[in-house]
Amino acid sequence: MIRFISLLLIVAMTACFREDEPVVLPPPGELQYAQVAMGSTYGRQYYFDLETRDTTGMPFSSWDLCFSSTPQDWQVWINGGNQAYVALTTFDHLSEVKDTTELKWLMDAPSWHRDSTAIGAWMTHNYCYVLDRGPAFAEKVRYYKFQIRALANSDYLLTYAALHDSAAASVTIERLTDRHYLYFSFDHNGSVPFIEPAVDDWDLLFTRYRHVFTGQQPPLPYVVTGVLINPSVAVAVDSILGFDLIDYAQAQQLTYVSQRNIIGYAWKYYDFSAQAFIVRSNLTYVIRDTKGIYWKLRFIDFYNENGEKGYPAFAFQRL
Amino acid sequence: MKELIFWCCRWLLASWAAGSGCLLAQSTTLIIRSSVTDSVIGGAQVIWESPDGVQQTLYAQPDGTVHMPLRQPTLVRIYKHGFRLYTDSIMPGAILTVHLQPLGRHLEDVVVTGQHRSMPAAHSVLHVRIVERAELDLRQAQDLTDAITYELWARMSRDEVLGSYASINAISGQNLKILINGIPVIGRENGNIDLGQISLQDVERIEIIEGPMSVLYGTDALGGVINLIMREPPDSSGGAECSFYTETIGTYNLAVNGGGNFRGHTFRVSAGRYFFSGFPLQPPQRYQLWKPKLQYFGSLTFRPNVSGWNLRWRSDVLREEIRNKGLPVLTPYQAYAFDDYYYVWRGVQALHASRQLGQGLLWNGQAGLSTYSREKVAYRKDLVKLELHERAEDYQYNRFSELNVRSDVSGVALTKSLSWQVGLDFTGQQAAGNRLQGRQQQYEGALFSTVEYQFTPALSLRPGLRLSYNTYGIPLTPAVHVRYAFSDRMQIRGGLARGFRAPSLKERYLYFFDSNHAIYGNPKLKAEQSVSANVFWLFEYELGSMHMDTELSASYNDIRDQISLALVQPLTQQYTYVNVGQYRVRTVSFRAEGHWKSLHADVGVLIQAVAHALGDSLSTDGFLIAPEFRAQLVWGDAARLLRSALMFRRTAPMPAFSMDAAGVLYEQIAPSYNLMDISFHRMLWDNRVEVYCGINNLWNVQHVPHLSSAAAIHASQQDMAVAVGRHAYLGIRFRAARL
Repeated sequence: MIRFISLLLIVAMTACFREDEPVVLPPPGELQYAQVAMGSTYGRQYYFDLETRDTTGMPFSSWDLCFSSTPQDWQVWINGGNQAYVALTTFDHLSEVKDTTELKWLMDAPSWHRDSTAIGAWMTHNYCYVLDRGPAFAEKVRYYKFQIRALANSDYLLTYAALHDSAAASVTIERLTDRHYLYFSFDHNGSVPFIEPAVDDWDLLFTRYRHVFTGQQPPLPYVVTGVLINPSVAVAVDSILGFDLIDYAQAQQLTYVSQRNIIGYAWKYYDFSAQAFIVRSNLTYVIRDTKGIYWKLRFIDFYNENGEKGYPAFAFQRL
Repeated sequence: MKELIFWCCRWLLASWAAGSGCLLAQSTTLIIRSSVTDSVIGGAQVIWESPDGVQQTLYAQPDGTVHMPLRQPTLVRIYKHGFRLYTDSIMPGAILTVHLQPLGRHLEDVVVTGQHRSMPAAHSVLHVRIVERAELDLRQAQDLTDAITYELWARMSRDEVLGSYASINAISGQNLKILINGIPVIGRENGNIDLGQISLQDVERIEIIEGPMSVLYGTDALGGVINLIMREPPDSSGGAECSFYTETIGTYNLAVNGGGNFRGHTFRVSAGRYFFSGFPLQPPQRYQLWKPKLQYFGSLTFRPNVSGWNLRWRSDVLREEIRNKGLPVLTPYQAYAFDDYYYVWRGVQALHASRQLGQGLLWNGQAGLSTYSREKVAYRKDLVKLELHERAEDYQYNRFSELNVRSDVSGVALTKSLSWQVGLDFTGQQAAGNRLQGRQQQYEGALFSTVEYQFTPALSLRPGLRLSYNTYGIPLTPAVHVRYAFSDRMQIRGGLARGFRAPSLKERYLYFFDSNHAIYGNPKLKAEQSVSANVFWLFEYELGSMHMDTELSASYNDIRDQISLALVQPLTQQYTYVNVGQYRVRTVSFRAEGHWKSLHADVGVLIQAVAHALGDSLSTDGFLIAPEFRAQLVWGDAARLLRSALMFRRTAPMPAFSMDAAGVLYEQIAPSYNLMDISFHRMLWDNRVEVYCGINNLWNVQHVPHLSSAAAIHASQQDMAVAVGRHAYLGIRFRAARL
């Protein structure tokens, strides 16, 4: 009896808050390799997630307008990979827009900076826009006129018609809270060609986009094949330390930016003497993903085993 | 004298017979009576074992007598539903009168709450409910939450961090006054007192009065009063108890009690340690919905033996620690979590004194100093190095103290048809905290009086009045209560009263400003006021061999000038407290309690209609009518000293207003849910050990969906946590000697 009572006393007196077990941090990840198949014509674009290696692909030309889905943002971009341009008219009814004369064609900044879109602050006026979808489209479907309105719930209302059509159509572009961008195509009587992966599910977009070579006179817009980053991802570029030496401590010393074309196309160049794309393997990109995890990445090839271009291959490792 | 000599001879003969082995059976007579009314109790079960080990059972005659053929001193147990179990060693041939002590809701219980002086509940003009110690034991109630969860008049709500709080007849916890031996319990968080901080280890019984009692108890006694009557020091030489309680959800409670008597000076000490490891238990996950908690508490009661005086000094302390561990953030480079530790200190020093001043004149006085402090210490815990780093910007503290001094004189006059009480009541409150505008105080002084006049033995009327001096505009509070007894078995009680709740210091002087909040107190707040009426019809009757107690009651309660947060500056999102609310409650309840042989059934239905409005803009759509149901079945086997109970409760939906993330008020309705417990209680080893076990929350109800009204477009459909999951428990109490 005494023992039993003693046992109860000990149990009751010693029961206490459970202490945490120390967490053992994982060592740096394995060196991994991946290759995406954009194709020799660069026709496909791919979203790539460094953590899961998930890829999501679709034709890069499948969209015309890209709407910001981020709350409080309202920017709209055009598909530079299609060499699209947009112009602001002086008409506030679509039926008044009948041709492209005297239109001033504009394009977005390659950086996708919010303040540098060709469409600009559409909510401050009622004028119509005309989109030149690009030279790859037949004349009848190349030009579209449109207006954008903001709905009370902050969704977008897009009213559009082909340039020479009088009947306009409207479509509501609904914001998705877990995405950065919403895409729209004038094909198929207006459609959503695809839904990009959720914000946390992709880091890099291998695609065609328009770069402007400002060193040229006049500045030369040119479609390039490269990488745009998730706007929630930050990237630092290193050309000194080298891929093998960069670790977590050094990565924290670097300067990171979230400019979408920070990786861009310049990790390779065309060697005219060799008639081939050469990868700049001294460039290391340190990527801080949406979860705060650091990765180092470098490109190792642009060709597949058959010698076809458009197959960027890269090595990456979690720090 | 002849009779005395005769019984002495008989006793000597019996002693000789037992000692010499000459075991002649002698008729032993017991007369069983109530300890309160002294009336005889028929039908009581008397059990003992014959020398050859065979169990014998007899039932008392209607006149309360039972004749037992005993051959030697024998341990006899007497069991009757509604009374405490009586155990004693009886000599052969004795004629003894045994007094059973009533328990439960019996009208013979003596009550003190709201009375001029202690009296049987049956004679009280006020309708006082009682939860006896035996019921608390059967439910294995560790704190006040457990004690009233299955009471029809009460409804429990639980917050994972702030604890649990009760409402009475749909009047919320901030409008309830909780007393310990008449001293107010302070320390409200979000308007409520955490009932989990009130241990029942030292409680003798709980007395509850529904409806406003502001005439006697001042502020907060608007919806009712819960008065915990603590155990007194033993009159005998002393004794000690030790109890252990554990639940499968990680509860380990230990408590010890002891008391003694030194030259007429009596004392009682108690101490305990309650630990709850949090729920759910899902290691290695560190976040738990129900937070782990550790409590230490102790009390000391001392009654000096001073001639002509009845003095009692009592000191209580409690320290509670709650750890709210956050979800871990794990990255390849760091692992951490944000934890909050809450520390609560409670202390009460109370002095009670009474003295007979003359014929029928009694003076009562009490002084209580209560202190309460609560600290929230926020940490960032490094889960790699297991280091705590304090986040000073999130540190919070509140400190409250209250001095309550009360003195009254009561007396009887006019050939005892008139009794009266007149008294003074002073309450001073002080508060400080880093979310208050400096150190703040408020005071109330009051003169109160009640007069009870018995027109006939059946009819009593009791008017009362409180005249206050305070800063929140309640000068006069009247009340009147009446009792009419149609017969010994049927009576009706009713009351009409006003009540009030003074704005708390926090509501008057809060200053909380950060990037998400801008909430200011309002020093100009008025007190909440209520008008209440209630009526109770009580009927007791025999139905064959079944004894029935029934109660039909109805109440009306309107609270106006209810204090609520309101957005007063939309541009800066500034909130403050204003008197805008109106809360109306109507209830009807029926309760029946039956005793039949070894069974005791208690069922009740409460239908409440609640309407709530906040200003002109937000209100419920008329009255929301909701039924509550409660049932309790107790079965006792006196032969095995075993009692078992099955308790069931269905709670009603309840409307409430909440504020969403955008600061918009919306209506929510907490839906109904069911609770059921089963418990067993057995006494062992000559009543020195009591064992309790059972299963709580048989249906494993843990969450119920919070239903928002259609207009609440901002609200998310969140689940409301109502209880920890199904779990078993075991309690053991060791008794060195009866206290």
